[in-house]
Amino acid sequence: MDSSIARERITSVIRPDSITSSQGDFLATHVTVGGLELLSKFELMPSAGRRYTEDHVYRSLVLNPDNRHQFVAVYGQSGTGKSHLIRWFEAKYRYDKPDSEVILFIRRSDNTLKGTIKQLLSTPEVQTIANREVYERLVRATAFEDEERLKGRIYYDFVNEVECDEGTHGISLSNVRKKRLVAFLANEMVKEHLMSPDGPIERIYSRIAENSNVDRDTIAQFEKADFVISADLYDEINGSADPKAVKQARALMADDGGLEEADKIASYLNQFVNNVIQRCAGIQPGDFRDIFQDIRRDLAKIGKNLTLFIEDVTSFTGVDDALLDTLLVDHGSDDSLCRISSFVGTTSNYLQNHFRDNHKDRITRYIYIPSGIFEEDKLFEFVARYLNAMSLSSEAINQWADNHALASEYPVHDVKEGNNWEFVTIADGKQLCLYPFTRHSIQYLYDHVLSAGQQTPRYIIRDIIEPVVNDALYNKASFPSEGGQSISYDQKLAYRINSQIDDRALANRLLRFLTIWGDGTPFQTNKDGVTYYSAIRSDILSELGFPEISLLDGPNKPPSPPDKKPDDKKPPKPIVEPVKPLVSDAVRERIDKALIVLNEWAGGKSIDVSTTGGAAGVLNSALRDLNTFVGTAINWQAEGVSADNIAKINASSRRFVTLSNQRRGGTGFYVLPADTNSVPVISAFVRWRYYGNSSWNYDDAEFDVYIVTNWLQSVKNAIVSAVNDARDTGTSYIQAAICAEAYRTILLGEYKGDTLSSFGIEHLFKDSHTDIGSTAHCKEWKSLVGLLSQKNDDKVNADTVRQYFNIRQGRQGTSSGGVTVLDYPRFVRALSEAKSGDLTLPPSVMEQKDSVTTRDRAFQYYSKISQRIARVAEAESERAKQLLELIDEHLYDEEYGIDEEAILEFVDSVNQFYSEVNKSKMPIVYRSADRIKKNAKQISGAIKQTRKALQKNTPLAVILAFSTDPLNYLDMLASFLGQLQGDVKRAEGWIATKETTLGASSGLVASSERYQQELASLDECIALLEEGSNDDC
Amino acid sequence: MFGQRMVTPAIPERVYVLCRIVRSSNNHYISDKDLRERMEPSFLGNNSSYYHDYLTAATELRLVQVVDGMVSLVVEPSTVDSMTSLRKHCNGIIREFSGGQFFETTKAYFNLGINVLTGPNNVAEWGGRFKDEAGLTINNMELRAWRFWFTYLGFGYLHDMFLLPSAGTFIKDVIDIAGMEKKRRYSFGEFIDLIRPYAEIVLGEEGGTLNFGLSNGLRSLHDSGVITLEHIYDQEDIWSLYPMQLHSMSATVTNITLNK
Repeated sequence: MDSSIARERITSVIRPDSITSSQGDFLATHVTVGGLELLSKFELMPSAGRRYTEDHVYRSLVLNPDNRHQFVAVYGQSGTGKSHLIRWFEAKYRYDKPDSEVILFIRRSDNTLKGTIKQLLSTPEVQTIANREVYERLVRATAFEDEERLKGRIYYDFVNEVECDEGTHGISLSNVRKKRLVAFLANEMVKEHLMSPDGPIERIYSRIAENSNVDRDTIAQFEKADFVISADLYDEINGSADPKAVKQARALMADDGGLEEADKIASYLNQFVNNVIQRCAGIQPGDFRDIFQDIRRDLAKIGKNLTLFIEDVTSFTGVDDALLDTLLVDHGSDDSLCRISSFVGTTSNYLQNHFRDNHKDRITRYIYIPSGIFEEDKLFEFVARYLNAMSLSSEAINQWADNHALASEYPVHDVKEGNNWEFVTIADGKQLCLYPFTRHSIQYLYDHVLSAGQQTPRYIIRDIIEPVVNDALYNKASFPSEGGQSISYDQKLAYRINSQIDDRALANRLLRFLTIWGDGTPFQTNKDGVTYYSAIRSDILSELGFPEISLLDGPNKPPSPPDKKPDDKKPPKPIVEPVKPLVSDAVRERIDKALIVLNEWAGGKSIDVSTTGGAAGVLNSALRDLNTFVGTAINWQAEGVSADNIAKINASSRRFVTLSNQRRGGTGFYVLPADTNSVPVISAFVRWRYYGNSSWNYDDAEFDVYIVTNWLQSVKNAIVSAVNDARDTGTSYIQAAICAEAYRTILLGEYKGDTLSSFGIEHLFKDSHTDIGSTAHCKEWKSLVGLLSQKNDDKVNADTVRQYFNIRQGRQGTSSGGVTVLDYPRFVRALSEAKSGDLTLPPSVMEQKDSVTTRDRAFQYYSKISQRIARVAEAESERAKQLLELIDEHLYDEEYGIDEEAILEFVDSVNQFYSEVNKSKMPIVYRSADRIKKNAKQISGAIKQTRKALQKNTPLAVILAFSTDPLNYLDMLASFLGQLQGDVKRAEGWIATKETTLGASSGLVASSERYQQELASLDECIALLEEGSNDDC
Repeated sequence: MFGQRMVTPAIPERVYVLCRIVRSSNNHYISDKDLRERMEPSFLGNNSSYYHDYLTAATELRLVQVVDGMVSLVVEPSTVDSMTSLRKHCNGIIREFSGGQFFETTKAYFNLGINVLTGPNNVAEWGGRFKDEAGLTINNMELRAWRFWFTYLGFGYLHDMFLLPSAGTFIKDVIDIAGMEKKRRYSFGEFIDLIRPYAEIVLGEEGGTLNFGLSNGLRSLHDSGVITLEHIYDQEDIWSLYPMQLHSMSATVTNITLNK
């Protein structure tokens, strides 16, 4: 390549449409092709039959040795080179034609009807054509019309056609449906939709207007897709249109039958395309028929025949029927017409759908150009000729073309860049430099960048030659740039490069170059003193700024890179084919796709591993397998991580490892960075699962084993650190679990101490589920205990405490057959920490959340207690005070308080009371004080304990003090006192009643006074009687 | 465990905890009864006891001794500072268990070379393999017990229930125990002579070829910068690693330097 020339010439040489390039460039870039098919009958996709060279076709058809009337259709998919072939035939025939032959070449220059007429009229042979003035007037009549106005006219012409349709076409609609369609088309939203840049009106407009960007192979017609109505469009129509339009839109949206309706409407409207184009272009079908008739008559008069080359029949869209009628007429039936030999280019689709069957039957021969027409060598030559042409001045090219474009004189540029690159040899032994391509890169890009239908000259130029050359010309420092294509790298090559180049971007660039430009293998070979890396010369790598690397020594057969004598030299194929394991093609395809996705991820794209199907499913499995490996390969307990912690992680949604830039699929403790170092690790597990059928028994597995074990060793500390159960909150969940379990034990009264000093491990293993319903605790206390056992929370938390310190053997997450072996020192340390903190966690802990739900449950459980414990302590104290107040009122002694003796004295008094009650026959049931007497000691102790408890000033101290339920004894005594108080009142009442019945309204006192008076009266009487016996008796 | 047959309850972590309890006791003495009560307290209500299994392992490894019902530490207390220091101690004396089931099984495993990748997926089912390849009689439970110490002592990794050989950790311990000098370039033969007294378990037969598991470990140490392996072309003391084309040390090695 000569960059200085190529920079100026590239835009003129790289013109995908052959018709737009200069004649010199066209000839200089032409490559003969050999895959043409000749058919007598139209076949859309001919089954591969005999193939002919273009030279054969030229000699048998274009030269027309029998001088017969013929109509030859040249067809194929868009971009296959129809125009190129027709132009080549035309150029070649100009030199070979007999004098009696006139050539008319209708280019596709502006692809409009009037443009086509202009071309015809400018041809020297028709300068004297009859009615020439009429035709020129026809062309001149094309007044300039505003683009939007013309499109609008086209659009409303269709509406008008529908309104006026009287059912004379093949497809007709009922009046109701026509009205519906008219209303629909009249809607502004629909109009906007159909007139969008990729809509049907633009396509039809391109056949009328002279300036349009529509692909020239696009057929000017309505398509089913034009009438597929989106939900948004429907909403817009629904909001403003008349009901008929809405009804039509709804019919087009229907799940059942919507597409059929769209297809039918497109077909219906396509019936009017010709009429609309003719009307809007101001040309009638007869115009073209007349032109060609006149031309043929004129030529017949002077004894000449006509060979017509029409690059693209769609240039005649709108009048194509009339054109075909004219061209297909054999001169044999009309002496006034000359013989005509026509070569007409068309796409397969247009030929299929727009040529009437009777026209197809009258076509003499069909030339079919298949996709992928280039054989391997021709493909390289095609690229090389373009590269050569753009490195030559246009003068040099044109001079060669003007001198009959002889192959022997084909100009070859002086190679300024790429002398050490590959060359291809063309006719006459001329060698063309492929820089900036290699054969492998051309083939690779041809296979991977172009889809099956696009492996045609147009797309080779547009999607391969142009971008790569521009990249080399303007961006050599980063050549080859990221092309956006998905590349499946050889993992060994990737590993070798990544292990030697730290700069990720540089490593990726080299990997890309060696994979696309080289043969992609991880081998280096030496030949004639030159080292080849993946079949690329070392000096090419240096030239592109790549550092020195070392690849694997290639096996016995060294590659044979092309040199200056490269006739049959092709880039070396991979010498050692990787051993492919026995997996189905479908699975292999999934794996390949997955590896491509993985490489794209390493290149910066996000990745989705959340699904189980397709490539994402392969990676999902690989990531799961990698996590299994991490989970089992790290000796967690030996690393100081409790087996309970690992079990909880395994039971949660968090994974040990996730991928950086991962769109879905959960979070992980360790995030695998998105780079090419990570790719071998994940892909090793892809191979483990699919190639090894979940084993390491497959070819090259030993390297994968090395990769994964070495990787694990390098990240083990990071993973161990990440799963640390104190990382999220600053405190391990086991502290929360221990504190909560200790509180629960105390609340249940399982621990008797009034401080935590003697609270030991054994207290946490009591498996306490005491029913405290019958205790005398306050209702808040009972309520909290009830809350703690909801949803088995108490059992889960107790199990956490027990399992955390259990040194398990075997699978993490299961206890060892019921035998618990304690990590005693660690347990003691943790309990001691909990006790020294008075079973309280730092407030900041509760503001955080443990990212492992199963661990966070311990914090939530603890939180239930910590939020309520102060209130429980307060309520219990309040209750204690009330009980104590009642007891003190009756029993408290300033000097002795309430000791056992006092209680026993009280019991005696009680017994005496009931004894008097009994003697007096009072109707009061005897109430035994034996229980009080029996528990006198405990009651007195409980009273003392309660008085002490009320002195405590922290909730924990209060709870500890009341945990043995002293209020139970206080409650016993208080209850008895309450009952006794009732009995005393009843006794007093009874006595009062008795006094009243004795007469004294005022009761017993009054009765006594009367009794005393009676006695005094009796004494007086006795005295009087005694005196009387002495004096009077 | 090491002297005779392997038993699953005697896992390294229990041996370690046992030693830590002894170390934290007065004068590093504790009664057998109390020690057991610490690790398997009666209040746990265990149906059976594993205590004697791991006590036996600790005794075999010369970590503790039991005299007149009293268990005492017989190593420097620092030996049980951590699981790492304990591992290094164990790796230093593992050679003394030649003939024991653990030693012979491990040795046979490394001698299998690359064929270790083709065995059953579950290590417990490798009895037939060891019988066929090395004439060892080893049952399912003994193989389960083997894996705990195999991975702990740094001979390889467990993938689910399948062992992957990579003796890097073990070799690094042996390098330290053997007193290899840092920053000095040893010929590989010198290196092998230096470590052989401690590393017979992975070295296999005499000769200049290293097996797959040992090669993996050496490459891993090389990649992590702990050691530097070299092939210096004019050296004659050439040893063969298990071939791995993609690795920078793909086949042969002549020298080794301890970096850290």
